[in-house]
Amino acid sequence: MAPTCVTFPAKDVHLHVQVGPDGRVRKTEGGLLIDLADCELFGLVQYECSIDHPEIRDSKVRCWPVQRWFRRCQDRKGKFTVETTAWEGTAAASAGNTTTTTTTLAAAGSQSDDQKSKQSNSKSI
Amino acid sequence: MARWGSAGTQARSFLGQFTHHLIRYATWLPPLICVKEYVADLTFINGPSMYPFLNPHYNESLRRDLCLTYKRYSWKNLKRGMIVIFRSPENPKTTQVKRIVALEGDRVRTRPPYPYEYVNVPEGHVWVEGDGENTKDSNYYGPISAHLITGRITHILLPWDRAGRVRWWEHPERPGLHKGLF
Amino acid sequence: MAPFHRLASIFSTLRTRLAAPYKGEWIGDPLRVAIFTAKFICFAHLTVEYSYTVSHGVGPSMLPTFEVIGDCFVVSHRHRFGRDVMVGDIVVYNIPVNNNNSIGVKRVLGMPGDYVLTGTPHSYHSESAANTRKDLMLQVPPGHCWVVGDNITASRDSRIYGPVPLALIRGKVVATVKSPFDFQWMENSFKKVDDDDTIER
Repeated sequence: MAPTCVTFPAKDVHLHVQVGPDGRVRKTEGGLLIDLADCELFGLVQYECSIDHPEIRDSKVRCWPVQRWFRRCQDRKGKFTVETTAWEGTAAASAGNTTTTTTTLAAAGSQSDDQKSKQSNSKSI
Repeated sequence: MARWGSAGTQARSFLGQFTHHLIRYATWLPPLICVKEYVADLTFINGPSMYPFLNPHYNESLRRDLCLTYKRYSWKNLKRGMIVIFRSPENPKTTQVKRIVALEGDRVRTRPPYPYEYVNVPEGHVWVEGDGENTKDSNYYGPISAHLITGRITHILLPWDRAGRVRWWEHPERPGLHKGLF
Repeated sequence: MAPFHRLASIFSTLRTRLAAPYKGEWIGDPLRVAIFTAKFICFAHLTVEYSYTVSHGVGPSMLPTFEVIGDCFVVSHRHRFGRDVMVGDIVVYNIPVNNNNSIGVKRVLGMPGDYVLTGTPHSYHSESAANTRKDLMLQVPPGHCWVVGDNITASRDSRIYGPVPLALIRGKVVATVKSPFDFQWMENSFKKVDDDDTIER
């Protein structure tokens, strides 16, 4: 609710992580771009639960796990976490290292211009 | 042993007396902290964000205004025009002083740099703005949750010439505010 | 100043009168007892408020980590305002969109600067898994965190009211007390996965 956040499609997350919170391209060791597939993989399990008889006090509860995936990447300023639940398994994730880098480079360059045009489809949260 | 302070003080060494008084005064610390936290506190105002109401001479002197802050139920019974102290939504370690412009359910015409022209203040939130020109307020970070508010300024204590009650209800309404539109 | 002196003398006589029966006793007069009690209550309150408290939550939002009714948990207030809170921790916070003092207990999925899904990911058994690909993401703004209940079907959390200011965090859940004999330290469920081959879609 508080600030205005710019949302973006989850499949493009590998492009958006290149830009830090200050709106500048992240600096990394060796000057390489951040490759999500190379970052440490973390998992967290949440659940979809249904209470069989909500009106009864000790009703049976059934839960199905929902696996969420995260990547923990590092830039010069420290570590940050990227949720990749929707990104893992997409074309960008399985693409080779080199192709990803070239596409991200182009995207990161035009990022600051994109920011303004994205305001139109961003939503206030 | 009738009384802590009087009996046998003569016989005690200097160090003994010193620690004795130290402990006696230290026992008043918890009540003092409780009062500061939950009832009322003294606050120095930093910076020009409430200029010219608070710190009118911020660019001429280093003197800061001393204010009395009322802290009971700080998130309740908020009114437009009140000057409140709240934890910054951007950095929980710092606090800010701003004036409440709009309450929940109001519609505000924003000022730059806010990306949208109008904002509906959501439930449990308030729209805060500084009186001064260059302030980082709701136009920058959006409406803030009323639970961030830690107190409201009721009196100016220092300097003497402006000391007195803060008449927040006399503050004119900000243009571009539509009360209770939704 | 006369009325003030009069009042003071009345007060002191009253004090000696009240204290007279207790003369020579350790406990002293009632006024001192009252002051001592007040000091002690303040001390105890602050000690608890700044260290650990035990509270219990009601509601289905944190199933199966916490039961719907009756689970108690220990909250460490050292972590208030999001101090040293990490992704995967369960935090206790003031719900930002409520006008009463209601408290939420949810799991943190993103700290400032992290990237999170704004919506709900779908489990593998549900047929809507493909919809996950269309989901939106955002970067958590500075000073905020993203909280989601463990039971993602019945939880009001950041997916509804957006990122929560860290200043609203009151503490972190460090242990659960299911019964007086069942004390468990909370484990962070955010775990490193070593084998990349575990991801299958």
